[in-house]
Amino acid sequence: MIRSSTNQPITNRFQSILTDVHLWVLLLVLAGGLLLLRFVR
Amino acid sequence: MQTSTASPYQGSTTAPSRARALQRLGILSGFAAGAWLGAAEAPTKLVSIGISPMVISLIMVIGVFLARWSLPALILGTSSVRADVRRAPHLIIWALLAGCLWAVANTLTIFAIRDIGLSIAFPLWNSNSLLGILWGFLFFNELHQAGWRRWTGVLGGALVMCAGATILAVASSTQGPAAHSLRGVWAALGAGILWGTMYIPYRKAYLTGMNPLSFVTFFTFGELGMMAALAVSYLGVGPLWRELLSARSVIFWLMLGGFVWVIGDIFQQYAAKYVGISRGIPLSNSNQLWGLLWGVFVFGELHGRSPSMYLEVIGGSLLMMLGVGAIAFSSATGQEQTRWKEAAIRESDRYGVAADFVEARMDGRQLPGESNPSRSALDWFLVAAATCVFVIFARMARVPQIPLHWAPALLLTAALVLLFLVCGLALWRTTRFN
Repeated sequence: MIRSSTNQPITNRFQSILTDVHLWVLLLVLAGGLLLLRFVR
Repeated sequence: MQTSTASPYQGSTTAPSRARALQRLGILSGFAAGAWLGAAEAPTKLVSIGISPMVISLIMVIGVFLARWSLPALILGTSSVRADVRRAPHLIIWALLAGCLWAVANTLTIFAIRDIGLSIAFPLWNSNSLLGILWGFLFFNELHQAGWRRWTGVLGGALVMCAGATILAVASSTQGPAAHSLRGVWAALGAGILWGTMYIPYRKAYLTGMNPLSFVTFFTFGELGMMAALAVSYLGVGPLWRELLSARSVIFWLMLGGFVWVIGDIFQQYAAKYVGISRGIPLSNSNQLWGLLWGVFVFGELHGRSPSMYLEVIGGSLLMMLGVGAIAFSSATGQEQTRWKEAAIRESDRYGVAADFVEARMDGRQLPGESNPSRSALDWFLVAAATCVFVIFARMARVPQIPLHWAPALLLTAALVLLFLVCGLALWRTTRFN
């Protein structure tokens, strides 16, 4: 079976989220969508 | 492309017959999602009777919020949601972000429908499937070691869909005022990009073992929060309240649209879980055909247009459907599924989620010894409260004064119910909604 730590400390969790490239892709697209909304309304 | 590494999931206990059953289930869920998502857009036609698109979107999202809490409470119970969150709490952040993307995209679609019509806007925002394929490949090992036939099916299908979307975009440039048609095209394409990206959190959630019914309960806080913020910032509190009051006779229909959307979205979540986003999104994008059926037969959208316009819209839609079909018949092989599981290991390692839990949930089953989900008084309270809200607004509702053809509407509704029953039963028998 695979090693894993189900009780990862919360600071580590935030670090994992902040260093996840998926987060920045999502934020960039969200910002673009909000700008587009201003243009089309 | 990454090289294959020894994976603890290789030699996984998933039997080939079980894997095939889950693939079939994912494909069926994708088609059911298409039907329900397509039907959910119909109430946005109410924009033509002078209600602000922001208000329409906000009311729909309130309906969505009620459905996203009451349906999971009814199907599995909130105890199951709590258990999922304890195992993977980081997914709350991803669910909230996905909800924000959904809200912005949904608002853009309403502007698109206003400017270029439902039957044209639909296929344009369904270009999200192309982005889904890209994200699936880049981030989640989808289509890795898939073989040239599946690559051809998925990429060829995507290119055919692009051609169909282009034909529809050209058709839109001759419909309605020119200044608005370009804006409508941008709004629809923008919605496609947002929705295509929204599937990143979906896939992350399911690679980490979260139940789709748990994911949507947090997702909905993102969508309601973002939608409320958009409505207040664009309209102001006073004007928003006055618009809500003036729209009270149609609030029920819009909330119902949101409710129908949620049913489609839940099927879509199961499709994303069992066949991945590169295939699940195009499949659920068969909602384009359903949208066309509602637009043309129920709302008479293309009535009186030139024959060439009909040819362009129908031809473009058929091309897109052909692409969807090609993708549907390119299901993942064993090697590709091993690469999916490597992506799951990466996610569970990064966020510290128990591997046996992730593996069990990817196979659509519970862990040995895991207690069965049960409903509590809280769950029944949530279901009763949501029902009461719908009943209250139904009592205020009037049938909107827009031309409707009821016979095709009833036929399409019957088809929806049939798909719901068939797919719901298949999900229950195969996975017990796990």
